Amino acid sequence: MKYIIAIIQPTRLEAVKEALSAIEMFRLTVTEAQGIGRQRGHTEVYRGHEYQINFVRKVKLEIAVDDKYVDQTIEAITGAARTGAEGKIGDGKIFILPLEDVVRIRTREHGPDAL
Amino acid sequence: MQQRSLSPLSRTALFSAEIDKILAAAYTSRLEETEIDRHVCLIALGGYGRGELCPYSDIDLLILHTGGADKEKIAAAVRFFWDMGLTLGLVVRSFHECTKIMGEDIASDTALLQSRFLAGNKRLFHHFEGSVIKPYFQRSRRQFVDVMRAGIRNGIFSSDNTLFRIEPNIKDGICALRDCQRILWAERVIAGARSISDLYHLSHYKQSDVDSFSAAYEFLIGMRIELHTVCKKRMDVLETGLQSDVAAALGFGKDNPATLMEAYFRTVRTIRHFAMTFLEKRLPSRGLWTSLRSSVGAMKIKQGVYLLDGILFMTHNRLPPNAQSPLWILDIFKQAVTCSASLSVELANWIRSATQYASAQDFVSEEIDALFLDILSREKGVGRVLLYMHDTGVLTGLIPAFGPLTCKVEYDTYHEYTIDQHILLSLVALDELDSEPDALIRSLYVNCASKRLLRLAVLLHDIGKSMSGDHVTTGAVIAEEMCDRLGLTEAEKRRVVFLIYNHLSLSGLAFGRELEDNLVEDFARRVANRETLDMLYLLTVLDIRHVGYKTWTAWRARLLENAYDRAVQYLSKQSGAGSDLTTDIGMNSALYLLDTLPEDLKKHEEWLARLKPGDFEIEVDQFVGFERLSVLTFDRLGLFADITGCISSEGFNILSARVYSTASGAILDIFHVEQDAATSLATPQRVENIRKKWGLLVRNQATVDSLIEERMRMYPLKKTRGIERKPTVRIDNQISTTFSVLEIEAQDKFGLLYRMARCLSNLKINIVSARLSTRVDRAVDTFYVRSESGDKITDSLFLTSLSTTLVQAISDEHPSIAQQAPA
Repeated sequence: MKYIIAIIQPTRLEAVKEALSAIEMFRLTVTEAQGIGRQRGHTEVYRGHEYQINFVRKVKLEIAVDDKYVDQTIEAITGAARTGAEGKIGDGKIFILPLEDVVRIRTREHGPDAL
Repeated sequence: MQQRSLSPLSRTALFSAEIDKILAAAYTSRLEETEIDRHVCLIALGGYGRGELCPYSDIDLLILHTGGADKEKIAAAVRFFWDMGLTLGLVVRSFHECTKIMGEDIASDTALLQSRFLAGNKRLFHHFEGSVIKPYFQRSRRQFVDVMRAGIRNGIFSSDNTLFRIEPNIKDGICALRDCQRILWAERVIAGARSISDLYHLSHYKQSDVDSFSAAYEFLIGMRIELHTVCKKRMDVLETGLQSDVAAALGFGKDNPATLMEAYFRTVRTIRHFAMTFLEKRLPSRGLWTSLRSSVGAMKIKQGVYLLDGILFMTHNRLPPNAQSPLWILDIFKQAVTCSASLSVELANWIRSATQYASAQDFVSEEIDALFLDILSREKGVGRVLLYMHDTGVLTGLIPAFGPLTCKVEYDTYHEYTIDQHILLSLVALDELDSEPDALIRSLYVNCASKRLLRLAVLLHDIGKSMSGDHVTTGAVIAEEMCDRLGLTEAEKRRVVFLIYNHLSLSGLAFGRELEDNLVEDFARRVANRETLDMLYLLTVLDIRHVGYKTWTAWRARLLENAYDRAVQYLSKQSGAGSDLTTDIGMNSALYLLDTLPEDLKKHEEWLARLKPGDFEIEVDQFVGFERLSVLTFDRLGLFADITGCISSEGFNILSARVYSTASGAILDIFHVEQDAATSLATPQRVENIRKKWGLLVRNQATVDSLIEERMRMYPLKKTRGIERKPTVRIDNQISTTFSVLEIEAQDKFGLLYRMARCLSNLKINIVSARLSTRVDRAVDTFYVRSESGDKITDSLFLTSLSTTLVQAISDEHPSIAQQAPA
C-alpha cells in the first residue's frame, strides 16, 4: 500500500477530483496549504523585488492506494493538475510514501481491505 | 574553475563568461524573433553583472521588456531558464515597473547599479541605463553614499571589535567582501569608478594603498572560490571544520589552518585601513580640510600637527625636515596621551608609510627610549595610544619582537583573540581598572605601587611567543633587555622580569592545585612581597580576561581570589587556617571544615543522620556563573566514576570535584559544575533526571556508558580548533605531602572525566579530588589520588602501566568528536 500526497494549484482541484473519480479513486482527504518552491513563491513571471519570499496558496490531497493502482492514480493527478498543455511553474508535486497499515475504525479491519 | 594558476578574479571572470555563453544561447533559442527582439533584453545583475561568479553563487538576471512584448513567449522562456538547472534569481519587469521600483529597496538598486547587457535588444538596455539607472543614482547620490558609509561604519565601530572572528563570514563580515564592495559602489556613484583599477585615478587614494586593497580583495575572492568548492554549495562562513580543507586548497597546507586565519586577519586589517581612508575622504561635509587652519578651534601642537575636537591632524606643507624620523613621530603619540586625543586617519596613514621606510637602526636611540618610557609612565589613556602605535607599525619598530605577533593566531579552543590583540586589549583594559566593578581588583589597581611596571609587564608578558621555545623564559630574556634599554632601576627590572617569568604561576596554582600549605608557602616565598603579589594578581586577571570572549568566568574569578587570599595570609605571616588534605579525609578533616559554610555543615550532618543504605541525596546550590551539586550516598564499587558519568550525561561540565568519606561508609561528593549550552533544561529538571538515571544504574537497568552514548547521539559535538594530540599523563609525588598528583592533558571530549575516573577506579585508585583546570592556554585534568591502602602511589612499574592504561582509555572508544556537517 502507498500513501500519496499531492500538492496542486487550487484552481485545478475540481479537474483532479473528476480525473480520480473516473478511475474509481474517490476516497481522499483535502486540505488547504501554503507552499514555496524553487522560485521562492513567485508565480512564474514576477515583477517585484527579487529578494522577497512569499507563500503561495496550494491545495494538498492525500490518498491511500493499493500498490496495483499507484501508477494510474499518479497519471490521473498529473494529467489533471497541469495548467495548460505543457504545464506551468507552480503546478505542484506528488510524494509517494510506503504505507504500513490501514485500519477502518468502525469495523477494525486492517490492511488493503480497509482501503 | 579548476585552473589554479590563474588569479581568483580571472577565474571568476572566466566562469561568468561561460555562463554568458550559455544564457545567450538559451535566450536566442527561446526569444529571438524579430518582433520579440525589439522589445526584450536579458540583463545580468549584481555579482554576475560585475563578472565575479564563484562556483555556487546565485546568478541574478533581469528580463527587461517594454509594454508591447509578448507575455506568453516570455513566460515560456522563463520556464526554460528555470529548467536549465542553474541557481538563478530571475525577475521579469517592464520598463515602467523598473522605474517605479527604483529607490524602494537598497539591495535591488545596488543590483541594478552593476547591470550588464547579455542578449536581446541592446538599444533597449542602453536606453534603460541612460534614462532610469544613471539619473536615479545622480539624484540620490548623497543618500546612497551615506547608506554605504553607514554600512561600513556599523561594522568597524561596533562595540565588540569583532574584526577577528574565529569563524568569519567572508562575505558579510566586518571589512570583508561586502564592505569592499560598498566602497566600490560608493566610488562608482561619486566618481564613476567601475572597478578597482579605476581607483588608481582617484587622487585621494595612494597608489600603494590601492595596491594592497586590490590584493586583499583578490585574496578574499580566492578564499570564497575555495570555500564554495570545498562545501559544494554556496557557503560564506569559514567554519572551523572547513578551515583545514580551505587552507590546503589555497596552498597553506592541510595542517596549517592557523596560517590561513592569519592571512585572513592581515587581509581584513588592510581592508580596514583602506575603509578608514574612504570614510574620512568621503565625509558628508567636504570643507573640513581647507577650513582647518582657519578654524578657530584648531590648536597648534607643534609644527605640522594640530588638535581639533579631540583629534590630531597634520598639514603636509608645513612639516619640519625631520618629520619622518621615529623620534618626531613618537612625540606625536606622546601628545596624543597628554591631550587624550585620537589620530586622524590621514595622520595614521602617513605615519604608517613613514614607518615602513624607516630602518631598525632609526629606532635605536636614547631619546627614543626615554620618550617611550615617558609614554608608558602616564596615568591614563596609554593603552589606546599603544593600539595606534601598533596599528601604524611604530610599536614593532620599537620592539621588533612585536612584528611576528601581528595577527598571530593560537589555534586552539581557548585563544579567540590573536596574540597582538590579546596584549593590546589587556593594556586598554588596564587603564580602565579604576572603574572596575570588582572591589578587590579596583583597590589593588588604585593602590598599585607602580602602574608603569605593571603596564610593561602586560606589554611584554607574551612577547616570547614570537619565537620558538618556552615563551615564558624567552619573554623574560627579552624583558630584561627592554628594561635595560629603558633605563629602569635594578629593583624595577627585577620586578618586571619576575612578573613575566611567573605570569602563569598564580593561575597554575589557583586552577590546577589544591591549596595545600606547602604549595602556598613555596609560592608566597617566591613572590616575596605584597606589592609584587598584587601586581601578579592584576596581570593574571587581565591575561585571562583577554584570551577570548568567555574565558573569564565567575568560577575562575573565585579560584583566583582564593589563591590570592591564601598567599596574602602567608605573606603577612598569619598562621592557622591551614588546610591540607589529611590522610584521613573524613568529614572532620580540616579541608572540609574550611571549605564548607556553617549552614551547609549543619545540612550535611542532618543528611548523614537520615541516610539509609540505598539512599541517594543530591542537592544543588546556585552561584553566579556556576553551580554546586552535593551528592551523599553510601559507597559502592566505582561510585565516583558512576556519579561523574551520570552528571556529565545530563549536560553538566564538571569544573571540580571533591570526595569526602566518613567512617560509616557514606561518601559526600561536592561537584562544581556549569551547564553546557546544548540543552536549555533548567537545573532542577536536570537534577531530577540525574536522580532517575541513578535509579536505573542501581537497578542495573542502564550502564553509564549507555547514558553517555545516548547523550552524544542527541547532541553531537562540533569540531573544535586545535590539532588532535596524544593525551599525556604526568604523575608527580612531590607536589603534595600526602597524595599523588595525576595531571592528564587531553583534547576535551564529552565524557572525558568519566572515562578517566572509571579507568582509575578499575585500577583500584582512590580519587580524592579532581579539577578541570584550564590554565590560560591548555586544559588539564588534575587528580589528587592515593592507592587502595591510603598511600601515595610510588611503584614505578605500576605508574607506567597506569599511564598507558589511562591514555588508552581516553583515546579509544567512540571516534572522538562527531563532526557536525557544515550548515
